[in-house]
Amino acid sequence: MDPFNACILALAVLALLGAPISLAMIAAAIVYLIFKGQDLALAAEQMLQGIYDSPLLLAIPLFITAANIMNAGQISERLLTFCVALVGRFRGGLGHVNVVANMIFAGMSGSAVADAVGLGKIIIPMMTKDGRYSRGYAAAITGAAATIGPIIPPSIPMVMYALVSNASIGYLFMGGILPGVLMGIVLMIFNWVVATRRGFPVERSVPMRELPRLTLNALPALLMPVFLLFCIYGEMLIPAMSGLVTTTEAAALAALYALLVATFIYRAMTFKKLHGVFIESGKATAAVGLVIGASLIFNYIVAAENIPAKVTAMMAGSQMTATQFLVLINLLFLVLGCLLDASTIILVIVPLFIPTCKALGIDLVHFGVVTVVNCMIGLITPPYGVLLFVVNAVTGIPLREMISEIWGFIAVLIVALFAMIFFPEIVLYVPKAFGYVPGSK
Amino acid sequence: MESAIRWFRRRSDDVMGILMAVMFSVFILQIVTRYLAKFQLASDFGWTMDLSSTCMIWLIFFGGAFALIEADHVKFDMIYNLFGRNARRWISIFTSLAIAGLFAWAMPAVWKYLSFLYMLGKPNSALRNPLTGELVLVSTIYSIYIAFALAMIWRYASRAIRLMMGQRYETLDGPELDAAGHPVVLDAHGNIIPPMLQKATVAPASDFAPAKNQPRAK
Repeated sequence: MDPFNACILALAVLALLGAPISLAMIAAAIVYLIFKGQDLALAAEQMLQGIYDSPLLLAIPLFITAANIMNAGQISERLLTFCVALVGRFRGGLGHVNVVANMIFAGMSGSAVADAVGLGKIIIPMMTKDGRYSRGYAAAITGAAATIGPIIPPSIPMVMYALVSNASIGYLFMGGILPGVLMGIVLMIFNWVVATRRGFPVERSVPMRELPRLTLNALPALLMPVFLLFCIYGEMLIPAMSGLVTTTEAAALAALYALLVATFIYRAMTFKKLHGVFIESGKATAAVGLVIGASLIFNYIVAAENIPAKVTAMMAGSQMTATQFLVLINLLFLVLGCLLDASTIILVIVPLFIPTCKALGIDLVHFGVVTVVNCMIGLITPPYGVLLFVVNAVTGIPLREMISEIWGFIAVLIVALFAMIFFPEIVLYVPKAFGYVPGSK
Repeated sequence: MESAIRWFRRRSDDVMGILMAVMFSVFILQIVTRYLAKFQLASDFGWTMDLSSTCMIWLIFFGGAFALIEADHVKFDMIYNLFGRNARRWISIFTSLAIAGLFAWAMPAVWKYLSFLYMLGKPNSALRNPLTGELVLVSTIYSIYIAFALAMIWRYASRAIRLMMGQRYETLDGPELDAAGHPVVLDAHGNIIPPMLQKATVAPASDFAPAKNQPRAK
C-alpha cells in the first residue's frame, strides 16, 4: 500500500471513530513511517523540534492566560456595564450591548471560546430576565458575536495560520481590524431588524451625566486593546521602540496588564483564583498544543509527499481565476466548518492550498484573514459548533432553541465573509496604510 | 487506589499551573532585561527564551500524559455518537488498541533517538542548570516525550482491557458526555436518563475529577 494512502486511511478511521484528533494524527504518522520504512522516531522529532523552534507558538498559552485572567478578574462585568450605558438605549438594546462588548473584548482576547464564556455568563441572564428576549435568541447572538473575538487582534487562530503559512503575524492582526468591525456592524443591523419586527425592549436609558463615571470605571479595561496594539505596533510609530516587543511578548504584557488591573484596580483577583487560572490555561495549552504538534508532523508528511504541488497542478489544470478559487475554497471551508474544529482546518487543511494561493497571486494576508473569518463562522454552524456547545454548557440553554435562532446570524456573517473575498481592500486597507505591500511576505 | 489517583491528578494540575506561571514570569523578565539591555543598563539574559520554550514542551507533553482527561481532547465524535452503547464500546476498544499499539511500535525508535541525542551531548543554546551551572541538554528537555508516549500506551491499553472486561466508560473517562457536553446519566439498568429528568436523580460517581463541560478547542 502507498504510505500516504495508508496514513490517510489510518487517520480517517481513528479520527472518525472518535479517537482524540491529536493522537489519531500521531498514530497515523507512525503508520506512514512504518509503510515508508523510515525511522519511527521521526514523528516525535518533528513534533519536539517544531514546537521548540517556534517562539511564535508561545503566544498561544499567553493569550489564553490573558483571557482567563480577564474573565476571573471581573473585567468582563465592568465592560458590560459600560456598554449598557452606551448602546442599551436603542431598539434591541441588550443585543447591541452584546455585540459591542464582544468587539471591545475581542481587542483583548484572542479566543472566541473565552469571549463566549466570559461575556455569555453575564449577559445571557440579563437578556432572558423577565422573558424579554427568548433564550434561544440571547444564546444565538452571544455565540455569533463571540466569532469576532479572533478577528479583531489579538488572535490565536491567526497565530496558527502564521505558523503554517509564514505570513507576517503583525500584518495579519492589522488585516483583521476592519473585517471585525464589519462583522459587528452586520450583526447589529440584523439585531436591529429582528428587534423591530419582534418588538424587543429598549433598556432604560442611562442618563448622560452618568456616562463619565461609568467610562472611568471601565477605562482600565477599555485601555487594554489600545495598550496591546501599541505594544505590537509601537515600533512603527516610534522608531526608538523598534524590536522591543515581539507578538509573543505582547501576549505576555497583555496577561500582565490584565493581572494588574484585576488585582490592584478592581481588587477581584486572589491568589487562589490565579492558581486556578494558571492550571486551566496550562491544560487548554496542552490540549491545543498536542493538536498543533501533531499537525506539524502531518505537514512534514504532506510536504514530503509533495501534496501541495499536486494540488496546485490540479488547480492549474482547471484554469481557475483567483476569485473563483477563493469562492470555491471558502465554500469548502464552510462545509468543513460544520464538521471540524477550526484549529484542525487551519493547521491541516489550509497548508494544502497555500502554494496554490501563491501560484494564483492571492495575497497570503488576505487569504489568512478570510480563512480565519470562515473558520470562526464554522464555530457556530451546527452540528459541530464549538461556540454553541460552550454557550449551552455555561447557561444550560438547550441546543435546539439556540440552533433555531442561529441561522440568520450565520447568513449575515457569510454575507460579510463574501464581501471580504470580493473586496480585498476591507482586509488590506489597514496593513497597506502601515506599509504592507500585498503579495510580499 | 482511587484516592491515590485523585491525589496524583491534583499534583499534576499543580505542575501544570507552575509551568504556566514560570513561562509567564520568564516572559516578563525577558521583556524587562531586553529593555534594560537596550539602554545598556544590564545585559540581555539569553536563557529566558529557551526556558519558556522548554516550559511549552513540558506543558504539552506532561499535560498530555498526566493532566488531560479523555474529555479534554479535541475530538470528532459525531459518527461515534450515532452508535449504540455496545457498538461504542467495541469501537472504543479498537481505537484504544490502535493508539496504544502504534505508540508502542514507535517506542524503541524514540528511545534510540533520545539516547542518540544524549550521546551527542548537544546543549540547547543558553539554558543552564542553576545547581550545577552546566548547560541543559536538548535530550533532557525532550525526554518528557518518553513519559508522554509511555503514558499513552499505558492509558489506552488499560482502557481497552477494562472495556473488554465490561467496565463502563464513566469510570474510565469521567462522566460520558452527550453532544452538548452534558454528562450522560444512567439509571440502575444502564438506560440514559434525559437531562430534563436529571435534577431529581444523583450525579454519577466517577473515579476521576469531573469532566469539564466545555469542549476546549479552537
